[in-house]
Amino acid sequence: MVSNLHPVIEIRNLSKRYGRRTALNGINLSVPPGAIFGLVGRRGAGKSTLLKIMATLLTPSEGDVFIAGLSITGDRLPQVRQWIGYLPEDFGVYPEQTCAEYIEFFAACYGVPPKERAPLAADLLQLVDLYHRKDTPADRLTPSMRHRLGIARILAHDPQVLLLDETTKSLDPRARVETRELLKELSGMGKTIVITSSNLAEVQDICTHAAIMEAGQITQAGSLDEILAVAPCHRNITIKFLGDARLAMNLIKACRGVVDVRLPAESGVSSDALTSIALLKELRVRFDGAYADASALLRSLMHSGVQVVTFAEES
Amino acid sequence: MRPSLARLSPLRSPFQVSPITSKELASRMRSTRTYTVLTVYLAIVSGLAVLLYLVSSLSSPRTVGSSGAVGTVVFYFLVGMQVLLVSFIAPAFAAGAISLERENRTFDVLRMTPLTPAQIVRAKLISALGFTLLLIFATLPLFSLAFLLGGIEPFELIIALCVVLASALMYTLTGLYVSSRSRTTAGATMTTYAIVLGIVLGIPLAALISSSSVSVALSSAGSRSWPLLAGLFDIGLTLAISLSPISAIVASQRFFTVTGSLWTFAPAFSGLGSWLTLPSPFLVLVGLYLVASVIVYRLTVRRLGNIGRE
Repeated sequence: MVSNLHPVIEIRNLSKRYGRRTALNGINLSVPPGAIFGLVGRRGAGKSTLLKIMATLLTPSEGDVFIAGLSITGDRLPQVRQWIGYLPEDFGVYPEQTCAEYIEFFAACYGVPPKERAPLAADLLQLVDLYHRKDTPADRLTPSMRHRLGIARILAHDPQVLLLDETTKSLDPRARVETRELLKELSGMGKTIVITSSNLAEVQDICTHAAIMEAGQITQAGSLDEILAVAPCHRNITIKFLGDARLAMNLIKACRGVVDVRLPAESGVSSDALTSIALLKELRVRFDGAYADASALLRSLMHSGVQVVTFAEES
Repeated sequence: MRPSLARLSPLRSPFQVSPITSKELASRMRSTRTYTVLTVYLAIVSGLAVLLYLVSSLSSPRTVGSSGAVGTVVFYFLVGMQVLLVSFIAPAFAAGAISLERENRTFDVLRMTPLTPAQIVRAKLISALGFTLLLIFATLPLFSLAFLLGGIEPFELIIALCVVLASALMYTLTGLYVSSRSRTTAGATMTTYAIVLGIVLGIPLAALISSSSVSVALSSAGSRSWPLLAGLFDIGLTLAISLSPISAIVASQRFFTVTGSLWTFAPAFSGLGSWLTLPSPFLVLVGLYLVASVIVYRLTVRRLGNIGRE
């Protein structure tokens, strides 16, 4: 077991340069064992590069990363890799393999004995709810199923550290919820998870810790509460409905997590039209609550007789 | 829980079959394309060998020993087909081995495993070479036709096999190296073909053209007093001939017929007589190809190990 006193991932003064371009600059970061750590930043902030270095796929220009005390730049790379499971944002599968064979192949690559591979594949496919697809060719899965297969694959050698790059980005809403639940389950099993995202709101429901990245540097890092205190995450929710707009606005303002609610500037709705029940209206809500709060907001509108037509988070 | 130390190395013995090799051989043998290629190749080679036999036996006079001449024609046709096979099929299998992983976005995931670059290259080599060897050995029974007709000694088959196997190894490794450097499989395949065809056809053609002009120049200059120059020319031409499997097999057989020695010959390409004794071209080819194969293998391993370190 990793001692709770020591971080399972420790990044010291890490830099990565490609010629003259600096992708990462002086990163220092610690991830405690058992944490779900969100690396949040815009596209190009350096999240994926940092994750690839942690995954031992890139070598740093300066500094080092220690996984369970083992340096990724040392000569103990095979040992380091036993600790890590890395799921890239976009990954391929071998078209000629079934889902079970795919897991068994990677188990073999990590040295799992032959007799243990088939039961292991069955267990992992059950964990990610793909057991019914065990004999389906891996390339015939839907994107969200393939994503779950990827998670099963990275668990084949029972790593303690999971590195997931933009893990929920290309998934449909239902698959996102399922993936979040799965990550919570894995965290409950004692795994340390690092996930990247371009949106703090997207990961705030599951993360225990987070770091904000900007232009190759960490600007904030700490527990999620500390991060939210200095960098509250706002998301925009657009609600289209039939009913009294003033009533709806008052209801929305009273809900937890709502920062601001307004009519779109271009709508030009008259005062009479605002109260007209038959006309379709639109409200934009700036929101920094959790998904549970968003769900409560929707319930509140519907219970009050507002006929919600669409309720969508802007990407 | 810390991973078990017993699991740190996926390949505990150098003779253990790599999971990559198992996967690739299994998926290749599952594919209908494999059986189609094998069937079509054997049908074409055996059909042409029988046709050649019929044409040769009908056109040659029916005298004692004439079947031996037909046997030689059939034998060298079969050897030529083997050389074409290793020159065209081996690079095609190898050229996509690594670049295809890149194109399919499976390469990073594979690199993440504890398999070392050397283990990955060896596994890819064995799986790419495996099918080529299957095709080579599948055609061996056809050689019985040549032996039945006579005119061929068993050592000639051994020479041909040595050359073909060394060529298969060398061209497969060339394909793997190019594949490790290429972004696309199409680019890797074209580059590998260019290199292999340059070796198989380009070098003997260049040697043939240059040899005739140089030997004419040496003879006309009356250079009997230049034995060193003539010797160097002989060594250079022997090397050039020995780089291509086609010219190496033909030259080795010819020198054996003339000198009666399988292992050495006295080159006299300059037309000035010879004071040198050199190894037979097939031996030079096997030696050169094995050394080159080791170098290309190490370059491929180094290339794979350096990915991500730029």
